[in-house]
Amino acid sequence: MPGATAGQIRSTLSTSRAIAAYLLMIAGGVTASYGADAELGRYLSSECMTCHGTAKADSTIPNIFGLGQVHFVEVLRAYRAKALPNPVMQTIAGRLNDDDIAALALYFETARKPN
Amino acid sequence: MTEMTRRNFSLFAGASLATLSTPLFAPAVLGQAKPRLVVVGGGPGGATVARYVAKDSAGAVDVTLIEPLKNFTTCFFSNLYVGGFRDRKSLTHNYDNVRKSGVNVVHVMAGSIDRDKKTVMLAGGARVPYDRLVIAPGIDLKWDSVPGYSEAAAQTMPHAWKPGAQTELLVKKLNALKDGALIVMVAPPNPFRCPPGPYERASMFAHVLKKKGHKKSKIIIVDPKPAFSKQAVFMEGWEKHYPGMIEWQDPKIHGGIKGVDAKTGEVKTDFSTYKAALANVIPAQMAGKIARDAGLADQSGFCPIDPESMKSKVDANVFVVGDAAIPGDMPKSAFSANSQAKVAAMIIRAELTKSRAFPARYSNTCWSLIAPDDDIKIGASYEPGEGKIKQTTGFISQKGEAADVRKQNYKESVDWYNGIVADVFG
Repeated sequence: MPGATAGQIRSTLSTSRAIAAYLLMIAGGVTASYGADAELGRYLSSECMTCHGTAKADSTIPNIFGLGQVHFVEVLRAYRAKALPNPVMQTIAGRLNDDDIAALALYFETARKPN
Repeated sequence: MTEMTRRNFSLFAGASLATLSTPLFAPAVLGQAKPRLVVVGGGPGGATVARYVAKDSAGAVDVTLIEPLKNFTTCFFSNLYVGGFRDRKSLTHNYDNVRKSGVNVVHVMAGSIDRDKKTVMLAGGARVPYDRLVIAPGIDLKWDSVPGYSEAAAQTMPHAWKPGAQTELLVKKLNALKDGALIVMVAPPNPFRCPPGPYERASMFAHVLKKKGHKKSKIIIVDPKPAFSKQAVFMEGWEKHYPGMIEWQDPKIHGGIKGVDAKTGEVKTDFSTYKAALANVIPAQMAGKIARDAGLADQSGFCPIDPESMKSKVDANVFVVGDAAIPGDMPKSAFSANSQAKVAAMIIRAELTKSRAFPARYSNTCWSLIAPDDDIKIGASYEPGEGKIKQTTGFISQKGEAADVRKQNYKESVDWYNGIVADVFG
């Protein structure tokens, strides 16, 4: 997610977590992992890997491996809503529906980062 | 695939083939144990397909990558080498980790393709059978698109549109210029590799000259196109960082590009003759020869593909990714090639192993450096539509953006480079 450092993401998450959790609840009670399509997540993740595969602590493009699913969903939805800056991520997230985002969240929480 | 390797390969083909391991050809001899994918070309398109099919199929597909170069220097970011922001070593990558992904990497030149027999003929005579073939040879140059230009003329008027010796020649000539020098760039017509590339390169020329203290040197771009990628922000940046140094001429201004003379260094337009201390001539382009010889290209010189799969429109067993393809609304870029490769890999795996297929999605972003910490970008998402790869959304840097935004763009581009080369080469 270019444009948002890990710290910025955490900060954004801390302020938006409650809202996002509420939105998840009213959206039908589907949690990030329940029913998420792991195979779809693996395919969609290939788009992310162009930039995020080698992220380091000081990278402009942050590491997204191991990010909790709720966090991941919040951030992607924020980019989709253009509530977080950076046109690259706004464009990427702009065509992801909730199922896509849930699938990606599941993938990146559980997948091993490439060496 | 550089021209040097194309020219010289046959000299080494025999020796290289002698070192090939038996298992590469074993299926053809002993009976096919696994479905076979052969990929011709180990750049950002080809190497990505090979790696993704190999790792995602977990050994269920026999993947062979045919690429003559043992060390691949990326064309993307080569402008930053011209500008002195990167060294060549940082742009050069080997195939050790591609092998570790489960790909048979063969450093030989693919000579031709027999589509009826589903076989790739290597220079030297060996044959490699395939069930699916990916062609990713990149571009060839249309030498005669600029009158007077030729492969020989490129030794004094470099194009530097393929990495390697040409880039080295360009940098050597650039660094030798004295104040008051005239650089003339002949820009290419559409479609061509890296649409913002010529204009980023002009920016890097200007940066080098400015850094050396040049006051009188000038850069003229004679362009066959009436407009170019990120034009407004490029031209704003040129006036900001290099006032009066870069002059862009569209066809209305120059009246037509009449030709070049490598002996005199002259670039002739309808209205003027320029004697250039450095002429950078970037001719028109077409798909790599092996793709054209295989009958995969149309009259444009590039290869039509099915936007749902990157499959060639003339052969259902062949996929074309990267600069050799006709990518609809997508630009010819490493990012695009890498994106197309993932769609092709997903479809190939589905066809060969019955894994699930998903709707194709594509994306691209191109960053361009105008001056230190002043980087602009353009990007978009794409999906199949109207019979082509169609842009669905997009963005572009705007004039007057804050310096910290541009600085962030540059950092982002460096991180992207690290990310994509790891995605391509492991």
